[in-house]
Amino acid sequence: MSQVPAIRGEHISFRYLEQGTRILEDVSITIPREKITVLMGSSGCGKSTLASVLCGLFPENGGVLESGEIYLCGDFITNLSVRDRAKRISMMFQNPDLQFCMATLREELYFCMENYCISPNEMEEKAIEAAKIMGTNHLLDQNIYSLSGGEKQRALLTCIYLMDAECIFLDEPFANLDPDGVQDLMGLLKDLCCKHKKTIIAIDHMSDHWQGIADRFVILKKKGQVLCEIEDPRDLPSYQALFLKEGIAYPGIWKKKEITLQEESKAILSFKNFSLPRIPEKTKKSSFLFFQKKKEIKKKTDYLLEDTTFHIPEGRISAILGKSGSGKSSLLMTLLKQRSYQGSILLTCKDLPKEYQTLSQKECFKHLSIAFQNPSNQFVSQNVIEEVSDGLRRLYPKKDKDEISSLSLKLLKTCKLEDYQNYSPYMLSQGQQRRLAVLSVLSGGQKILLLDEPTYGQDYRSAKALMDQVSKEVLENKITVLMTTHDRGLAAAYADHIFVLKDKKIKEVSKQ
Amino acid sequence: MRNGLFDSINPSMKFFVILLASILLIFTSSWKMNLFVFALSLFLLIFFSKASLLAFIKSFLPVILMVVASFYSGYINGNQAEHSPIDSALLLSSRVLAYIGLGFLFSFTTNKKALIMSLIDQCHLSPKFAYGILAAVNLIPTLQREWTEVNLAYRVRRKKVGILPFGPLFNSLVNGIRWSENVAMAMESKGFEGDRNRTYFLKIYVKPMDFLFLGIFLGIFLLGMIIFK
Amino acid sequence: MKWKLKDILMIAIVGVLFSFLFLGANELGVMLTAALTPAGYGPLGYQIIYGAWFMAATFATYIIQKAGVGILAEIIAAALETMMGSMFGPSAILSGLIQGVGCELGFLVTAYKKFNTFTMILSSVFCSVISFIFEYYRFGYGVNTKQMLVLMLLCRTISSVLLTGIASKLLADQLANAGVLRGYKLGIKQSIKKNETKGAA
Ligand SMILES: Nc1ncnc2c1ncn2[C@@H]1O[C@H](COP(=O)(O)OP(=O)(O)OP(=O)(O)O)[C@@H](O)[C@H]1O
Ligand SMILES: Nc1ncnc2c1ncn2[C@@H]1O[C@H](COP(=O)(O)OP(=O)(O)OP(=O)(O)O)[C@@H](O)[C@H]1O
Ligand SMILES: [Mg+2]
Ligand SMILES: [Mg+2]
Repeated sequence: MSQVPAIRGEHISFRYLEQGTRILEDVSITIPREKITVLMGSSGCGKSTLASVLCGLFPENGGVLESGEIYLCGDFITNLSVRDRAKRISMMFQNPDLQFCMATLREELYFCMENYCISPNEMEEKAIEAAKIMGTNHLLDQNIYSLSGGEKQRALLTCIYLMDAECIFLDEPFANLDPDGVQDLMGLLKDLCCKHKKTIIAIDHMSDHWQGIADRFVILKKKGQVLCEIEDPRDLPSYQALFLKEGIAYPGIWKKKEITLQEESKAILSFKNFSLPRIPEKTKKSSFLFFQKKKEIKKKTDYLLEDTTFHIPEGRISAILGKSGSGKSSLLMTLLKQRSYQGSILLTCKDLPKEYQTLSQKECFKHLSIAFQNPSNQFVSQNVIEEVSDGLRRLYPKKDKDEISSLSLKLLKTCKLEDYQNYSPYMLSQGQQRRLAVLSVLSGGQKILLLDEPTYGQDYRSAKALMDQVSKEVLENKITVLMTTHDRGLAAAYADHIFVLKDKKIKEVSKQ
Repeated sequence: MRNGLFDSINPSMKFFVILLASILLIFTSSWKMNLFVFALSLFLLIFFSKASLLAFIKSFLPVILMVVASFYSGYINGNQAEHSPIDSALLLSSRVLAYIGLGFLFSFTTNKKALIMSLIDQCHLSPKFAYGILAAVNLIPTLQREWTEVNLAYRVRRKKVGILPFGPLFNSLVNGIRWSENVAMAMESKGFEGDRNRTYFLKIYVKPMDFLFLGIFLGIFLLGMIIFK
Repeated sequence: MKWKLKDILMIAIVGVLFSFLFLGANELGVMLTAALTPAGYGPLGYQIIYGAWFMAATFATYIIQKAGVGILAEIIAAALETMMGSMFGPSAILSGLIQGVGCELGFLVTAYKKFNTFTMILSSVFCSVISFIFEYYRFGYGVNTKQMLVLMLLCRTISSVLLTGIASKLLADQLANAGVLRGYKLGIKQSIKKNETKGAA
């Protein structure tokens, strides 16, 4: 039995549109049983698409499979019912927001068990057990929409653990998780593979944390084709040139930024005795949701940040690291005046310190701008170049049309988006959208930019191009950047100051 | 003393009985009957349900404007050949009250998940529809957060949004359509096939009490129709 | 007819989003009602935004281009409303059904062959007229003068043509242009059209 591979795909050609380019072209891939396989490849090369095709979700839910055969544990995939398929393979998609259909994790777990016809009497016990193992028992009854990105990913892993399928396909499972949390989960995955005889396939842009865990690496090139298979992870260093050529990161690729700054810079944002409650108090009510008002268990005000004091220096890049769910996105939202806080924030612009609370939202937005964690919420127009020129026009009211468009093109070029200038932003891949979002924020002319995980899900090459552009703007225009990230290497490579959010305090750490 | 009898009645039976009452109401044209229905709903809400009265009063405030508007309009614009102005005004505004009374009586006493589950159990609604709608209901808070975020993006980037926000609506529709695809795939990969071959953690039954109570409710309603003809 | 889970979800999510638009419109409605009440024309305030109620139905029909979508969309929207605690409760289902039928009629005229501006506007007029007839009985509009009734119907129809007919078509066309609808009839048609023009050039 163990000779039969877990998944075998042969000569797969797939496209999304009736008449469009092929996303996958003649892809053949074999995944052996009871091993951990890591799939890597540049952004947009078709990894997620391949995953959905191999799991049988495409073409059933869209797209055209021109040719190709897929076998799951030896059986032809189209002969399997949805339920049988789910018993053999369960998948975690790239975007953690879009995978829940119930209100809380507990209900979601019950939903999974109901699908498998498990008796209702056993459900509660099983759910609690799975949550305990995955470290999500404190999240069981919290509303899913209020979970942080990383907590959602953990919750999804809980579902997958519970479903107990033979193969597990994970599409960037740790993109929103902190490195320590990842280490915990890695141990669990290894256990699943060794003790419970599961096959695990993971797509990831970062190879760092798979060292010592993965059994094999598969590198994909354009159109999803297999470029090479590395059967022994110890060989990894000898493939560095290949990794570089494909623009993917190998362990330790980021070089630490040299300190070139001499003079001390002033603080542009000073947080003094700053406290941020865990549950946002200032939620706008709407009559549509009138009855739905959440009966939230009123804990004795729990804080994400408590009585902490720190300063964000002007004209520098500051990175905030911290466990997922520690409150990084919430901090940025506070700066957009979306949440209430205690203590004080001073905004110093043109040597005039102003108390943040006294500023109107409009005044704040003159000074600061944000790139959201989800880039598709960011766009205000319907073609790529307009996204950038819109800001530039406001920034340089005197320039005429041609100058603006050539400036915009120059900016797009820095992130390799010039070919898409007349596309709708929504036709870009996730990674491209994220780059465009950051560019559009850069072009807005505000002096403080908040970037919420600007490089998550990007391959090395795009992340580097993007961060290089950001650094350039910072130097040239004295912009202040405050970014959150989970990638310590990247933070060390680009940030001038690194802050860590831990134990409800924010502290600056020196770069080792 | 309030008791939660009406809250615990089988949701789909309650649904159809209230629907029936709403239809019967179409065939009456007496303001006394309308007010009677409103009073009956209020009575049940106050004494036979544990719904929060504060929330009820809050949601009732906007209704008052509607009632006043239709009262005044009926008074001024009523068809004076057939009714006296005060009659027209009472008829128009009391009708609104009656419907809203029945509506609140249902929404304040019914749990949405229980309603869906009961529709599967008692009305043979296909789980595909049921869970599809339930998923959408559960997505509403997320959709709403995205909606504020999109609107925020317009403000941060200093774009004007009119009173009918078509720009943000477009963004949200793009996301929404993506979501429907993704959530559907996620549900399938969790083994959801949409057929009736599954177990249910929450199962809703019909109790004799349901028949009794709803029977009494309908009886009073019909009696009202006869008395206030 | 077989419905796919993703279509059901799409219709439901679109319904929710249009209700957000409606919330904005609702404020307008409240303000207009308040402004018009002293003159005795209060109920016109809501008629002017009424079109926003039907948008989901024509929008979804225009995208999926199948018979029955309009009714399904309106029923799902009503079900969502009921569950979210609409003030009209179960009777929302009834008006949803009626509005859905109105939407279907517009497309039935061409036997579901044409989905263009004309059928969209036709459908929006049907929505407006049929829902008005239903409410005539439901809310006892009979006691109003003829003049008031005509004004109400006129306002409702204008708003319906603008929002339900024209605006939702424009939105759907833009979405198709943005390449989001590739899984639906409208998007597929659009991509074929684009390919043809490319081929011709
Ligand atoms: N739903 C879709 N419709 C049309 N094209 C798509 C769709 N999803 C992805 N694509 C296109 O298919 C290509 C491959 O996308 P895919 O998401 O599989 O890439 P990926 O390797 O997972 O990239 P990333 O690392 O950024 O997640 C991209 O060029 C993208 O533009
Ligand atoms: N309504 C709520 N009730 C309870 N807890 C909440 C609520 N809203 C937010 N939280 C919690 O507040 C925390 C704030 O999360 P936030 O999104 O700021 O985290 P983050 O640091 O950005 O994490 P990540 O790196 O995973 O994105 C989370 O732990 C979340 O569970
Ligand atoms: Mg991907
Ligand atoms: Mg976050």
